[in-house]
Amino acid sequence: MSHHEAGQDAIERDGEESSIERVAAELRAPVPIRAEFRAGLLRGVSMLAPPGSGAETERVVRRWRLRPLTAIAAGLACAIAGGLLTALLLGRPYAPPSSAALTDLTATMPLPGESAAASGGHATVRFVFVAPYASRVSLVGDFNRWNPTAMPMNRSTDGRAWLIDVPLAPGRHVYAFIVDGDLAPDPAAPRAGDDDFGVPSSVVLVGGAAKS
Amino acid sequence: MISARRLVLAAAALASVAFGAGAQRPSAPALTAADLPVQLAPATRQAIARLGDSLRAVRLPDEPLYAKAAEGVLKGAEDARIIVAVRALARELGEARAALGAAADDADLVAAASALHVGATPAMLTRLQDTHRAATNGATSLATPLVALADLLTRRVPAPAAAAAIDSLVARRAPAGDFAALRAAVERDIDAGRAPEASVLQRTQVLLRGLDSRRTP
Repeated sequence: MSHHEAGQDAIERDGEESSIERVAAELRAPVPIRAEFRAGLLRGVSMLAPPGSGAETERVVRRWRLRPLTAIAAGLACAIAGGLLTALLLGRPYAPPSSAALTDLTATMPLPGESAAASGGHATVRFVFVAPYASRVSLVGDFNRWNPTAMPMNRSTDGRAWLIDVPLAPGRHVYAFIVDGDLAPDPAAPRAGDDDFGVPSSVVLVGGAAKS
Repeated sequence: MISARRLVLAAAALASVAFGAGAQRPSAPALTAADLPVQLAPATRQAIARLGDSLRAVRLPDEPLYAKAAEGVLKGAEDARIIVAVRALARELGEARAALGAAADDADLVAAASALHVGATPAMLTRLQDTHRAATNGATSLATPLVALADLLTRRVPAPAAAAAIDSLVARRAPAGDFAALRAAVERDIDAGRAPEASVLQRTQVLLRGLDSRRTP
């Protein structure tokens, strides 16, 4: 490299450095802020309480802490309201009978080997199912060929149970109830042992106490 | 969402209305092969009808087979499962006849078949039959004790304990209401968390004491 070229490089380096310094000086220079804006900002800052202390801070913190609880409570309230609304719109949900109600009604259920008034070789058996919140209950069994439309049950006068009287031939009969579209065994009667299809059924015996 | 079971029930209801199967009669006459549900495939109907013929030929009741098939259709079972259940019932009816003898009536046979299905042995049925004959001279039906036995077995009472309990009640000529009371009490105990075997033992003893006190002048 010649002296001339070396001098040229030095000049260019000096030029670059002076440009950088000039830009840096411009960036360091304070931004001009209007006097009234600066005064307002300082006034606002001076009114704030120091962080981590004071009643206002505690109130704000408590409010933030309480917000999740408020959200959970609001969610629960919405769920309850939605459930009630759904129940009202779709009909009252099926509630399984209480054990007390079943105890009350067991005496009216056909017991194995017992039946009501006999007539013409048949005996009338009263079937009872406690389902105060059901909207439709029917009886299915071997005596109606498991036909879900053959024997709709009637609601009792007090609205708690569903009843039907069926004349049955002597023998062992397997049956179940259809409660709002779902099969249910009779909770007050013996279970049929031969539940081959996943849904239990019940048994009633007609004329079982004495040989027919 | 509508459950599959509800769809099956709705379809069964529609089919029953459409084909007039089991019309609105309070108590339909005896089922025959012609009453098999139309939802079954023709091959399934034929297979069940042949089984029914076989039972009739040996003087066993065939109506329970057709009722079982109708029950399977209502409960949404597939044809293959229905055939398996019907064949099992036919076999159990034969075993029940062998255990109870030719004098057993249809109700006894069907109840015995049900007890066999849930774990009773033919020997248990034979012993029960012998006890029953000795106690009542055949004056009452064996179906009531058999139904109670099947119910206890369904509730997972061990078969020897259940059979012994029923046998002791039969030997003392317990009325039908006592079998119902035993079943209901054991059910309540089991629901309350008590062991089935302990429950059936204690409840039977209570009933036997009650029988003794009622018969003591």
